[in-house]
Order: sequence, then C-alpha cells, then structure tokens
Amino acid sequence: MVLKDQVFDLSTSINANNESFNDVYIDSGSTTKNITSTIKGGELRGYLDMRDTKVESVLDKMNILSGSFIQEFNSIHREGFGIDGSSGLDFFTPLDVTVDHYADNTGTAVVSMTNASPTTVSVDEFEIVFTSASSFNLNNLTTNASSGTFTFASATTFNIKDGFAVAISGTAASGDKVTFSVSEDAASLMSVSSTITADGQKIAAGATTNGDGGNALLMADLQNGLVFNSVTWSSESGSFTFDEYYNAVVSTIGIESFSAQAILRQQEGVMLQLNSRRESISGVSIDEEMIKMIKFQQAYNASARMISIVDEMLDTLNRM
Amino acid sequence: MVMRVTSQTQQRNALNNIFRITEDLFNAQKEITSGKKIHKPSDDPSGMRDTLALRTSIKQIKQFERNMNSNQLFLSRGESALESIGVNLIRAKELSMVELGGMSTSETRGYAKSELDNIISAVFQEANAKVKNMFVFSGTNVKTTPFEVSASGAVYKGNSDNLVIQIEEGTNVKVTIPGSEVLGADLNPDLNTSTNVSELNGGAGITSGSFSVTDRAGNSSTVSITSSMTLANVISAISNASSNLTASINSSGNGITITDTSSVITNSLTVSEVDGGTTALSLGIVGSKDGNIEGADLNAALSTSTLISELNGGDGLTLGDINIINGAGSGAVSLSSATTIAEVISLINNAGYNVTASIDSAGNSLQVISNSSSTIAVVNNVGTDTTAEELGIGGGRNVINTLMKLRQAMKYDDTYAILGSLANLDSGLESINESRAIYGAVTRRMNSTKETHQQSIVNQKDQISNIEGADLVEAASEFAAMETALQASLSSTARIIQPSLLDFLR
Repeated sequence: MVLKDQVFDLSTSINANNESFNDVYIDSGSTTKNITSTIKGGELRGYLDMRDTKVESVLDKMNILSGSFIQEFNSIHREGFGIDGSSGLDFFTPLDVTVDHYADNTGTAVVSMTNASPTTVSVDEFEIVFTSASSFNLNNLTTNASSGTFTFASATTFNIKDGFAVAISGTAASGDKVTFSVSEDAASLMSVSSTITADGQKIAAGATTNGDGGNALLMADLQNGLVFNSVTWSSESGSFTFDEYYNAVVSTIGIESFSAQAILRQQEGVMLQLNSRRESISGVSIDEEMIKMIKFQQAYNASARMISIVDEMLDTLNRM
Repeated sequence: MVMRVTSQTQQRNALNNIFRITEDLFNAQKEITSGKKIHKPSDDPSGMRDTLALRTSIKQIKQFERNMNSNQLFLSRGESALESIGVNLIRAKELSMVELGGMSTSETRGYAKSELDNIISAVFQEANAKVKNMFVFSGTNVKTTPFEVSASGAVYKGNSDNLVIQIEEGTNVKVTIPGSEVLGADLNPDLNTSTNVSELNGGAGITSGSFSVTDRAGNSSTVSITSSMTLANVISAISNASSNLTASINSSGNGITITDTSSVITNSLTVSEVDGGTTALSLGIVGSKDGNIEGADLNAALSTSTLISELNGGDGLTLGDINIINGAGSGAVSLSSATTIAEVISLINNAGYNVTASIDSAGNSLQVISNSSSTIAVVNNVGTDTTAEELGIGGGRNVINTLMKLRQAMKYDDTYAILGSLANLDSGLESINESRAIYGAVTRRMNSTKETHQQSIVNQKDQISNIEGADLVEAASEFAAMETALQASLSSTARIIQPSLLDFLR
C-alpha cells in the first residue's frame, strides 16, 4: 500500500478463530497490525465480505437445513420398524457436536460435549462466554439471541439446549469463549447410516413389524411438516416447510444479488458522471489546446510583426 | 458556462454505452435462444421462489400418481378374487338346495361333497391371492399365507390392518381389506399383565434370553427373560434394570412402553441384544430413542383368560345371542353374560347341544365342534345380531369355514347342518358383496383423484412457464431495438471520436 511517499507491505496470516481463513496485516516498520476489520471499502472489503459474511451465511443456512432434516428424519425413522423387526435405528448418520475453543482464551477450561439426544438437540450454532470460573452466558449465534446463564461445577455433566451433555474441566477465565454446533458442515457430512446401507430390511418403513408402510407415510409427510421458523429449525412451533426454508434461501440470494447489481449500476453511473466532471475541468481537450496554440502563435506572430514594424520604423528614423 | 467535452470523456462514454448495450443485447439473445426468462435467482427472485415451490408440488403430485398406479393392482386383484369367491358361494348354495330336496340321497351328497372340495380349493386359491409377491388378504402381514387348513377348519394367519397409500396431501386410502374382515375372523386381543409371553407374536411366543438396557443417564444392565414369564414379570424385570426406567403396557394395549426419567442425559435410551440374541426383538423393544421406547405390536394370541373387553384391539365386543345347530338339536344361546373367553366357551359347551368350543390353532378366533362323529355343529347369527360372526364361529364373513362345514355336512349326510349352512352362505355372500362395494368405492375415488391430479399438473406447469418462460415476441423486438441502438452508437462514435482540430490544420 502506498501513502504519499511511503510504502507499507501487506501480508496475510491465518486466523484460528475463523475456520483458518487468512486475516490481512499491515507492516508498519517494526510491528505488524491486523487491519481486517478496519478495511471499510474497496475490492478487498468486497472479497472479505463475500468470504466471511455472504457465503458463510448461506452455508450456515444449508447446514441448518441438512442438520434439521437429518434429525427430523431420524426421529421418525427411529419410531418405525424394519421388515426384520428392527427399530430405533438412525437412517442418517447422527450428527456429532463440534466444539471450538477460541485461540485467544486465557483460561485453561476445556469444554467437552456429546450429542446425548441426536434427534432433539438444537441445530443452531452457540457460543459460551464465561463470566467466571463457574458460570457462563450462552448465546445463540444463529438467532442472535441470548440463551440464558448457566452455572456449573467442574467436571460434572449437565444438559443444555435439548440434549447436549456438557462437562467442563480446567479453570475458565472470564471472557473466554467456546463455540459449538452439531450442524457445522452437516450439509457436506450428511450420509446414510452404514447399518441401513448394509441391510435394506432395516429401513423402518413400517409402523408395525409387518409389511405396512405406515412409517414411510409419516416420513413422506415430513415434506409438508411445518418445522422451520424464519431463522432456524423449530420442530414444534414452526410455520415453514423444508422446501419453503430452502426456497427462501434461494430467493434471498437472488434478492441480494439483484440489489447488488442495481447498486453497482447506479454507482457506475455516478462514477461516470464524476469522471466526466473531472475531465471537463482537468482533462485535456485537444481542440482547446490547438485553439490556444493558434491563439498564442497568432499573438506571437502579431508580436513579431510588431517588433519588425518597430524595427522598420527605427530603421527609417536612423536613415533620416 | 458550457461543459468542456474532452476526447477522454467522449471515449469513456462511448465505451460505456457500447458495453451496456451489448450486455442487454446478450441478455435478450440468451432469453430468445434458451426460451427462459430466469437463468439465475437474481433474474427474478420472487419468481424463482414460486417456480421452485411449483416444481416441488408437481413432483409430489407425480408421486401420488405413482402410488395409485402401482397399487391399483391390489384393488383389482382383491375385487376379482372376491368376485370368484362369490360365484363359488352361489354354486355351493345351489348344491345345498338340491341336496336338501327329496330326490337327494347320500350318494348324491357324496358327489356334492366332491364338488365342494373343488369349490373350497378354488376359494382358498383366491383367498391366498398374491400381487407383486404379496398376499392381498393377509392385512399388512403380506409375506404370510393368510388362510391355512387346520384340523378343524380354516385359520387366518394374517392381521387386521390395512395396507395404506397416500393419494393426496393428508389423504390416505386403504388398498387392501384384511382377510379377517371378509373371509375369516381375528379377535385381535390386547395385552394384559397376566398375558404369558408364550402367547405373544400370534402364539409363537418370544425368544428366551437376555438383552441389555441403557438408560439415558448411561446406566446399563442386562435383563433376562424366560418363556414361562408373564408380561408383569417382564415389565418388572425391565423396570428393575434402572431406577430411571419404568416399563408398562402401552396406551393402545398392544406393546410394551419403556419410559425414562433420567435427570441428566448422556445418551439415547437403548435396548440392544446380547450375544446376537433376538429376545428384545421378539418383545418389540429393540432400538434406541431420544425419549420413550414405544414397542411393536406384540399380537397376543387368545387365551381362556382373555377379557371380552380386550378384544378387537381393546375396543371390546358386545356379545349377544348365537344359534347352534347340531344334529336334531338346535337353539339360541345367550353369551351376553360372558366377560372372558373361558366363560364364552363354557356357556357354549354347557348349552346342551353336545358341542365343544375352543380357541383355534392360530389363536385368533373360536371354533365350535360337535362331540358326535355323525353330526356337524353349525352356528348362525341370530337375526341382525352378529355375535357368531364376530367370534369366528359361524356366518357372515367366516366364508371359508362355512364352506368347510357344508362339505363335512355333505360327507356325513347331515341335512340339519346343510340347512343350517344355508343362512351362513347367504350372510357370507352379503359380506363378500359389501367388501366388493368397498373396493369399487376406493377405485372410483382413486380414478377421480387421478384426474384432479393430472389437471393440477397441467395448471402448475402453465404457471411455471408463465413465470419463467420468455415472451419471444417481446424479447425479439427488444433484441431488434438493442441492435439498432448498438449500430447507432457505433457509427456515431466512429464519427465523433476521430475529428479534432488537428485534422484540419495540416
């Protein structure tokens, strides 16, 4: 980056808190400073926004969609019976919880978590912010709402959010952060359980152990199940189906892209106008310069003529 | 002041306009060549959402159509089977009428018996009809032969459920009628705590052995079950496995429920087999659930202690009168005072008609047999009272047993029984016709639903092409306009950009 007559080197370095994406650093001689969040505009900000906000938010929604689908489907599948009498099996491989400790934590707390209730647990992304060595605030990052305050005893298991079994060891410092979610990468990890792929008889299509399709009907009804609110999975009190949630994601992308294009077009128009203005003041018009040149040439001619006339006059005078 | 227009400004402006027009031209051309207005979500976000929803809806309707097309076979096969059984019943009735006439002798009844042999085997063939390798009349027990001959008559091995398909959102129709509703009976008793585990699974019992139970707090223990236990023993054995667990008979009375009250949960409630056994499977409680385990229908067989109120899946049965004919003796017996199967049996046995009532070998209905080797006991409904039919001992839908009794009556020359069978043949025919009417109604309903679906698909496709299809006339005229604009801007640019004063000052 160049500012007046000085050059500043820009460099990148991995940010452990942001899925190992790079942050932008500026080299100011002796130290380097992270300026990722202070970049307010320009092409670079555009790329950063795209990477950290736009694509990320669509990915999150896809993960929540897949995660919710896995849980809803498994929940129905577990209740049914395969033709061989099997029951209580997962159709999709159940989701594991991913726990990320912030790289900047100062305490020694280690949060270990298991998904103790794979068909009911919330698929949202959560953040634990420790307020002391024995308490924390839980924030739901998906809905951007607080999920309450919890106190805990070290290394004792307790439950939060519909079925996470949590045990915290070590000592937490106030302000330490831990994020966790079952739906992280759910869309890419989604797979049919190996028990089912190995033996098709275990597909729980029946509401009884006989050849009925009662449970298959329930699974098909999932298509019309109102299992989403506008932000996330809400099995009991939703108002949208899987389809509607997905369609909303698609049309949101469409609307954002549409409005970005409109803004771009408008800004280009403004830029064109301003450039014309600037050109009009500072630009070089060849016609104008030629005219000026001719003007000065004529003035010069006139002056030369003047001098030669004066010279002639002096000459005449001298001869007298 | 006049604006100074420099050549830079001119060039930039010209380029900008040319690019803008070529982009529009490109889009118009894309629209014309692809025939579509929407290529990516940003082309029309709300239109995109609508077309996505419409496409899903079309796919769903097509699935409903597939459901109907691939299962209509059950209806038509069931219908034709009943038609053929009906024809056979009419022939059996003709035979009985003839054999009751004065011209008939024990020899002619012997011939009639031979013809009935054929009729019965034809009826069995139809009653065990298959579609797509599944039995049409075995309820949802589609892999089990529904009707089998036992020593004392026909027994029904299927269950009393229907195969159901979805033909419209939220609308299911039954495509089969279980044999217990047309050709036989299934008393389908509920479980009670005194039910012995050997009476479960249609009398086949359970596998003795052990299984492991892990409650939601993670406490695991092994439960052992033997075939001599009652359900009460099984329930307490499971409940004792952990203080967090309570087992009970479920609310529909046909399976075991295990509830978990763990305060801190670390895993799903899991019941799993030990050493590859099948004990938990045979009790219908294998698997893991994030809550309570709702076990499978254990399909208890009848026992003498079964309460009348536990029959028909817990709906109970209102008992009235039956008419017993055995040789010259005949008369009505009132069963309304009976509260258990044992009481029903003793009321029949002690009515003085020299008959023995018992539970049949399939454990799902009763049978009444004469104690004398020369007479055949026939049981009729009394008037509109269907007690005999419901208990599976005579009349109405017990068509196969009616025919078998008739054959026996021909064989033993028992005219009382032949006469008694006539009423049962009539009510059997009525029952068959009633079921055929049900098949007809379902078929008609499916056909009309199919028509609605087809119309709906056409409408929705129309809607999609309205939203995303290109208006070719509009697109083409836009294309032409753009082309003109491009030409104009190119030629004017070519003219304007070149001349400057320099050109004139040579």
